[in-house]
Amino acid sequence: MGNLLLEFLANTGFFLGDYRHFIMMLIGIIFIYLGIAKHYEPLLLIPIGFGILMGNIPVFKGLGLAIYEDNSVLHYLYFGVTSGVYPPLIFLGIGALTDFSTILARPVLMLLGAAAQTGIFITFLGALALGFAPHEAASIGIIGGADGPTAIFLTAKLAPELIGPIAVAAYSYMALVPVIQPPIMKLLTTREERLIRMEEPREVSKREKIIFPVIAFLLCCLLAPAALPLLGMLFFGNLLKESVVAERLAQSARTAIIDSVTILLGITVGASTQADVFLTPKSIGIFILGALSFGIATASGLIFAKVMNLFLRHKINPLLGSAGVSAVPDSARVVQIVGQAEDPSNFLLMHAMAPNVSGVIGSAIAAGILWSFMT
Amino acid sequence: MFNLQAISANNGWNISMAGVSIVFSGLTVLAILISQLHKLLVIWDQRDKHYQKIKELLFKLIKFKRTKKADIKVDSHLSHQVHETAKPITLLVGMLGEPFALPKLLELTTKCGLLHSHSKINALLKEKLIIPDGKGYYYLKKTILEDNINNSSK
Repeated sequence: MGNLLLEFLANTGFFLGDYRHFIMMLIGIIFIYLGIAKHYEPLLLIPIGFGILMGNIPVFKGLGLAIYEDNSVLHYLYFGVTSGVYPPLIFLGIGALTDFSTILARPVLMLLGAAAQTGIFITFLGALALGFAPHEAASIGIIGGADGPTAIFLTAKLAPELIGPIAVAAYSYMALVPVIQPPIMKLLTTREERLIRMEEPREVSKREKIIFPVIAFLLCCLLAPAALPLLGMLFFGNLLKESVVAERLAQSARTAIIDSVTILLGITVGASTQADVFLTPKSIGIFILGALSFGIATASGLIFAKVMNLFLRHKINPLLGSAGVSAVPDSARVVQIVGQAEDPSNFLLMHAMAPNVSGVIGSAIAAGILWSFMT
Repeated sequence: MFNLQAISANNGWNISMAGVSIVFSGLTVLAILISQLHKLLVIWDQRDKHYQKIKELLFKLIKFKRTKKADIKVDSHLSHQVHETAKPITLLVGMLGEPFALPKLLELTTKCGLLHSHSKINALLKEKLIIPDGKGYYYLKKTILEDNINNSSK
């Protein structure tokens, strides 16, 4: 009886765990706290946070419980991440949710989305210089796109061993957009610039909205075919939405599918942060570079907006440049908040959505380019 | 720690430059395309109007070409009046034989009851269908006349 009890105690998580597991559990609890109490991307941080808790329960090896064990349930669910299945499904839902009329009304704002992608490539250079292998550097750089699914998709293809830290970094920074971006925005713009009012956008017809996903898909995927899984699903989802005749499918894509996949993605990505795999100097490097990447992307968009103003007759508010990172719609919301802090009657949200959604397209193209260069 | 040579060794500069350029050019082309989309749709909506305009333009062009062709035909062939005159005179010249004297032809046309024979022969002279041989006689430029007669009979 005594021996049996001792054997049982030796197999409990309390006995098997070490300090690293408890650090990770603390991080998981912080994620859950940020999601619930601070409302920072709760749909992502709560599943990831809970996934971190699940992945860091110390278990007896060989029982098929941990995510990295071949026959575990979590491992099967994680297959959607490692094989790159979940990100395109999330893009399908994003497409079915996104209204592209803002970029159709003012296409020039798309360039801000392109400018913000500079952060990806600068961070790629930084990661190379710090000694990361090229495929790892490309996966780290894509964090600057502030697009979780894109970061996971590219990492699954190029550096699957880094999915945990990269996904957690990408989603953390996406959640921390309201904290990271405003200081950079204020630093790089003057008060006069933040007060600039945008012109009223023109009305966009239904037909333009229907034609856009087809044209955009053909152009982007002919240019960067490796972006096909992401952009194909994004524009397909949007076509379902805009065509109206397939409303049932669009409804499923923007509710049931994206919600189910987000749950599975969040939980498994969280669970993949098993302490012994996650708490390494490489992960710390990834977090530092990720933050750098995000900051550079924000700054690139802002600076490019200021450069554009040198040539434009109707000036644009440079704050819009920071929405070029593809954290939809958080970075657009931050533009609205920072703009309204200077002038409460200035509404920038609608205008900021243009660089924001073009950032989604831009980061997917960038991922496609990096993937094709690395393979 | 921070090694710029690692960037060069892994072709980092080129990859970054190419990457940024491709993203920019892709989104720029897309922006240009969609900025023209509503204009193209307006043209599409007014396609009937434009089709009509094109049709009218083509019609005018064809009409102009036909007129030009007709003018050329008049130039290369004989006018209707000369053509009508040439028919009986060719027959009469056949009876007289070539070369012929103009007064004889005039006499014959009068005998045959050809109206305004003077002016008709004069018209053929002006058209250089009746050509002097330099010895006081004349002959007919038959090839043109015969072509005209054959064409009219077809």
